[in-house]
Amino acid sequence: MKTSIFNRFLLPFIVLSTVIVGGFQLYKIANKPVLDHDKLHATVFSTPRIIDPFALTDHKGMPFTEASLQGNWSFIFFGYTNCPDVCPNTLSIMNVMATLLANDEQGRQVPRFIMVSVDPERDTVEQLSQYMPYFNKAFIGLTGQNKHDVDKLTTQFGIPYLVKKKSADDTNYGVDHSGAILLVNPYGNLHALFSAPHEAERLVNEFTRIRNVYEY
Amino acid sequence: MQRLFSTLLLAVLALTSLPTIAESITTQDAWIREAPPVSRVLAGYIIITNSSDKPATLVKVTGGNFSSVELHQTVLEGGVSKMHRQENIVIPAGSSVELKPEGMHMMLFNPVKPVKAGNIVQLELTFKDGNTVPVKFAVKKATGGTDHSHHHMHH
Repeated sequence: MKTSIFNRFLLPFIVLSTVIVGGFQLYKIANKPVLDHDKLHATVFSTPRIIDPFALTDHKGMPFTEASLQGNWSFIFFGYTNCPDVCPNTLSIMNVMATLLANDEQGRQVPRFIMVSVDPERDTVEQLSQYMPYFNKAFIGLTGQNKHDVDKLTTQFGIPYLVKKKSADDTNYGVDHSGAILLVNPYGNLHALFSAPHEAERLVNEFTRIRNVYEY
Repeated sequence: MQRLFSTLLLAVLALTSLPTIAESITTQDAWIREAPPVSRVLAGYIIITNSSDKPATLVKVTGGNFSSVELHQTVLEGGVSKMHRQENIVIPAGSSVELKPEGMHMMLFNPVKPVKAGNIVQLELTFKDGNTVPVKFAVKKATGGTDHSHHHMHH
């Protein structure tokens, strides 16, 4: 009698559960979202790139290295605080992105938003500490002691910039710089690149698709 | 007699000091992007319409307690944002030119006092023919669009 209980109830239950769970797994594998790269504005690297060591300082005066990029997604933009047009516009776009991503249905963490200064001479920690929170209190500003510190990051990322100082005492100079926004994944690897011009909704939409595939 | 003379003089002064209005030039959506106080450079945007049958050339912008104002064009060349200084901006006959984020803009250097959202800043636009048009710019906090999108903001 005891075996018949097993045969009549438990066995069918096990078989049925196996079929359901297995079927669901198969369904999930078969339906794994695929990034249609042609439909993306972003360039997603087929193999995320390891970021070589760099040492910068954040707008609160704390060290910031390649290891600081781990544990969350990061959007990185290159700019400077005396940039009147492109930089504040990009930071405002990033602020819209942060707002949109804060309403995540699955409650996922809002990514980091970082501006790396390509003008370390004028962009001191003090200067950045008053600049970054204006756009968003969570935004991170990074600067270095000199151009060499910043170049450790820009060179490996292929981010061009040019300080257009007319003379040694020129304080009103501008800096030509890449308009790209980089995306670093939670392993601290360079994952994708978004070329300018930017649009907040499109960036959020593409990031969400990239993240969904990555975290599937 | 002396009193009459001074009254006349005052009248003449009042008349000549009236701004010359270039009637064929109209402006709209003049605004300055509010910046964090540590930023020494701000950007101004505007739509300038020239309804005359001759081109109008904007050569100079002054006022508003800035040390200097330059005309610039932001261009994206090979993914790099560059600002090209413009000697002037030509508004063709019967058309408009829009100065907007990540395009043509006025670069406003070293404000004497903080420029805050809600402020009105008057700037004088000088054209090649010598006419000067005073324009009131509204200082606004930008909302993150590429086409000064205060129309579709998200908060």
